[in-house]
Amino acid sequence: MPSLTRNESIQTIKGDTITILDYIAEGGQGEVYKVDYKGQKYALKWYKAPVPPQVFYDNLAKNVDRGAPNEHYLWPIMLTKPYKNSYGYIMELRKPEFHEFSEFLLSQAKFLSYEVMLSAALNIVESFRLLHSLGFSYQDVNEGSFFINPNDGDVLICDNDNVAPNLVNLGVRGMPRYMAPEVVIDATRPNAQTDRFSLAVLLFRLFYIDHPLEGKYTNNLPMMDSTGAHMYGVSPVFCYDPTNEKNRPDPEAQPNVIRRWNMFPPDLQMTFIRAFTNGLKNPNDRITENEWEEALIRTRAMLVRLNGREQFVNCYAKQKIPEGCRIIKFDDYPAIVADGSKLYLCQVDGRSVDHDTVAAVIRASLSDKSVLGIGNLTDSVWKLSVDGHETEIGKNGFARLARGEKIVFNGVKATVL
Amino acid sequence: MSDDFWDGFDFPTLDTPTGSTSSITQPIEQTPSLDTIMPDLKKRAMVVFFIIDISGSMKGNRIQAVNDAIRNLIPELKKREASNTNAEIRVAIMEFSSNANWRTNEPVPVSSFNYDEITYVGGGTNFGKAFSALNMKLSRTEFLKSSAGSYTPLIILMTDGKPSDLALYKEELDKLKQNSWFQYATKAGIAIEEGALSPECRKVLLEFTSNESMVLLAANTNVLAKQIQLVTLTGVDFVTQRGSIQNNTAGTSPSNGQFRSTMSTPQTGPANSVQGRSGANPGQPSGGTSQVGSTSSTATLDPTSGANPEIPGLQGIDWENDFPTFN
Repeated sequence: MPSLTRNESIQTIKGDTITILDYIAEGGQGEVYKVDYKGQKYALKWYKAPVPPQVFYDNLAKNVDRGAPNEHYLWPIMLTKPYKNSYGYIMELRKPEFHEFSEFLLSQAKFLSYEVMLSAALNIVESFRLLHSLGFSYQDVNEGSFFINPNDGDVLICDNDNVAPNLVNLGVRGMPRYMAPEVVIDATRPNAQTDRFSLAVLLFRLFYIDHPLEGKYTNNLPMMDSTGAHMYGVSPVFCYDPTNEKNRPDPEAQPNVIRRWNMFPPDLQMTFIRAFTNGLKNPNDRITENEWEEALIRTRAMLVRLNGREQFVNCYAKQKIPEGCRIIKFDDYPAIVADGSKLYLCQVDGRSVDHDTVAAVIRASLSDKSVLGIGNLTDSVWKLSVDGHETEIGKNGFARLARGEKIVFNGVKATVL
Repeated sequence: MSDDFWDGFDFPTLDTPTGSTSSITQPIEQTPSLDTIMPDLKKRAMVVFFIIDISGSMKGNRIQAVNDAIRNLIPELKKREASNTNAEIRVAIMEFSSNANWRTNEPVPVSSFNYDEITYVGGGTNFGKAFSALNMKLSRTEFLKSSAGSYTPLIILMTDGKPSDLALYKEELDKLKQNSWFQYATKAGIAIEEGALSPECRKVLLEFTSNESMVLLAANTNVLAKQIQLVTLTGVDFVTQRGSIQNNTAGTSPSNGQFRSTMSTPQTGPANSVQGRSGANPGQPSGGTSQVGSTSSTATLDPTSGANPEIPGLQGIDWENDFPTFN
């Protein structure tokens, strides 16, 4: 039974009025209502008994004042005064095109493409980089807190009521199978380093569906408190630990990770291996958000669309370049491009971390499909040189991508292969 | 070499270079389209056993009340099954009177489960037969067969009678109690109508559950549905619930698979103060913030107490050898 009824009014801490419109849902911790606040529609999260204590309320009030780290957070916008022995906060309503992360695991929602999948990962990682850089930790990373638009990879992060300055914990421990080992065994409370573990689990499941710490060894243990603490806390074993094969995925129980593990380029694989070997029990060896961004940007750079089909190409390997493609070799990683490929600002501007803004487009020549050209969508001027010929392209300028050509982007150099 | 070969690129963190000269002639492995590799999530099985008395005394509205309660429960279980990524809920039903009979040849995933009415057959209340039949199926090669592994099961025994096999059932129960799956299972007993008033009936259920708080009384059939729903959904919710765990407190604790630490003291004392536990975490109200507690309609039900014998000293366990055998 919803504890608030339609047209009921609640005061905010600033003295404004929130009016209940509709009951939306019930979660573990509270109820969610559609409300009217200052003439606009919002979602109200209303806590159920046992209502979180005063320090939790005070922290929420601070979070409201601070504002969201970026547009991906469904951040608490306004807090209510205590009312009917409880309280709540309002946030933006989630748009219907966003699906809960768990729906992607359960095949109830599906990504449009690998490119979108990678965009979603980048959006999640970027949001955590910002949150952590501000000195906060999220503390409860799990599949229920992330909503993704399957068509463009846009991300909304909800349940921001546990966000607090790093090393401050207001009571949450996290969700089983997402908690860091040191939290499972109660050696610490959630913090930025445990966030990074949980984030790695979330990203792993985004790409591979199955759980990184589950395989033949853990399948065989009956699940209860003590074995759970063993599998996820005391002695977790990564399913693709290069030095320990005992927990390899089982073809029947973990078919997804088996099918996908070698499909993604090496950067992704190697980063996950580090996350769940060195970084598994040592919080200081966790993958930082910057490292994830680098790995994800490189992974995306090895994804190309050929004949309408997405193809990952391991550009580190010595091999034939697929027909219709060129490799743009940056100083520290190669990118494969074909007709329709994009380069993003972070790739062609040495000072940019913008993984979302398209900075260059690659197009095949209309008369000769085997000839590719690059178009500059930025305000910078790029210098291209091949066989002694030098050209410059400014905004909306286009030039041929010739083998052996050197390109000087904005503070970034590359060679066309 | 033709124009379109290239010599590879050193992967900074790989010890051995990926790819080799031999792979030059091999085409790049085609990436399967996303449509062809749709997620196929296999979940750990969680078997809910319903063991139902169909002896003569269950005739009439009692058996019908059980039917109605389970019928109403199934949609709730289906809902939880559809939205959780942890457990595949499976249902196994046994009826017993003078003999025991499985209504399900194997546990049926609740997503495809159809409930067939149970009818009373008559006869005595031979608990020994039920315990023996249950013991046989509590095995990895029988009802707990699952490639992705199993949660410890949830077993609910419903009866209105006292044992007809007073001299014999204890022996079967003792054998059942040797089964690790049974030991670690969450067990509940529901005493229906006369059973609720009968000391013998309650005694059997207490012996079965080893936990007084898990013996529920349904003194009339009105509350039967509520009791069945309570034990089943509380047990299932501990595994499938969407909420996160709060630092815990007395009273309700998360159950199997929720990793309640078996250590009574934190592992590293100083780390806790560094983590600000004392300074910044003063806000635990005496009632606890456990979300688990708030999901059940009765605060007193604790499926874990007595259900999971704790294994002391996690660090000291030799997991390969000391762990109980689950056959």
